[in-house]
Amino acid sequence: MGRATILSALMVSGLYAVAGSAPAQEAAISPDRQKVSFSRNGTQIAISRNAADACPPACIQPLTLAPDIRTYGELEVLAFLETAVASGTALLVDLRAPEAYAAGTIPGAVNIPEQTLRADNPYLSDLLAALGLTDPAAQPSFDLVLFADSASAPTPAVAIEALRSSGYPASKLGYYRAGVRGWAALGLSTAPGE
Amino acid sequence: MIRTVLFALGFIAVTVGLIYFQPGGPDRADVSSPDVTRSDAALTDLSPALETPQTSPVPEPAAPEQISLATEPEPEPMVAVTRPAPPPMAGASDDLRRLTWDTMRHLNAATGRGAAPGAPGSLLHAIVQRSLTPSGHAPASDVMPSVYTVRPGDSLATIAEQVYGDVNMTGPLFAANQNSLAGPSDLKVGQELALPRP
Repeated sequence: MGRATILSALMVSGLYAVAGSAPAQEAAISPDRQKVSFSRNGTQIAISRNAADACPPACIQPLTLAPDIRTYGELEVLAFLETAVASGTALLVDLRAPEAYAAGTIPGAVNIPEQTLRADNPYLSDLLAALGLTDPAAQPSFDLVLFADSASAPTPAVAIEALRSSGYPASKLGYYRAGVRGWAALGLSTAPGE
Repeated sequence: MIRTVLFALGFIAVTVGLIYFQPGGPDRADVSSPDVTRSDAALTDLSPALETPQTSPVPEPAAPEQISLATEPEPEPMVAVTRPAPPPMAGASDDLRRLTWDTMRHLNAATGRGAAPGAPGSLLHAIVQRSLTPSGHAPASDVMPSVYTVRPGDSLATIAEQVYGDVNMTGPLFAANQNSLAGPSDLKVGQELALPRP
């Protein structure tokens, strides 16, 4: 019994070691599409995806998460920082874990890890109160634009759904799809989280 | 056979007696209930004091008997009883609490909405309130009314504003009444709410 447990633990850790040493592996594009193939003027063309994380959950996100949630590009995020965040009525929210946020994020972003927004967090009401959502009938204080690691991170969709079900109005929620990696890929500066 | 049974019964009786009276443990009067006041800063010191008698429950005289009855299965529950209870908050829930508090602290610092440390609405205040009212009952107060009766048109936020003059007390107010409220908006006219001390 004990030996079997140790053996299975070794096998599992071995699997993780293999997965860790090969960061890029074939991954699905979206939950229902493994590959895309088409023909152009008689030539067959195929597109596949190599990614560090498997899909699901790390599937490529659609441009629009929901019809009433606005998606932001970099110029829109910059304007959002210059106007709404600077006037104290909005927050750019990094949904990643505190360690990733501390290592480097979009300058001016605040950190709200996605798991703290889930309905099973017993302290969710306190967190929502800090965002000004004290009463479901009242308007919260802040417009939020949420982002995570990259356009294949599933956390913004989950967080937006959790916020909406907690009573946060969709008109006050936005989605920066490219995330920190898309931001840095354009050469825009990042800063360690506060 | 009868001798073995008598031995077992005698062992159980002696063990139960020793656990109950705890001759080597500290005086019960010292441990029973120290006064908990607002000025008593070291509330955390209570837990080691309460656990001390439980950590040395198996008395020395019982040891030889235990060896002679090594095959006797019955004494095991006795040992299990003396294990200190696990802390009420542990593991994942504790991590989530720390994560949420850290997030709120950063949020309040970033937005400038944070109240002064210890004041109603501040993070420290919310933590103290939660630790003081683990069962959801507000502590007795001699300066403020301890119960509020809900009137038409009330919400938790308006009650907090009215009673404490601080809308940030909504969270502690809801926390103190979680037993009777399904959600922050679940208020009924005439319902009595416990008022936590600010």
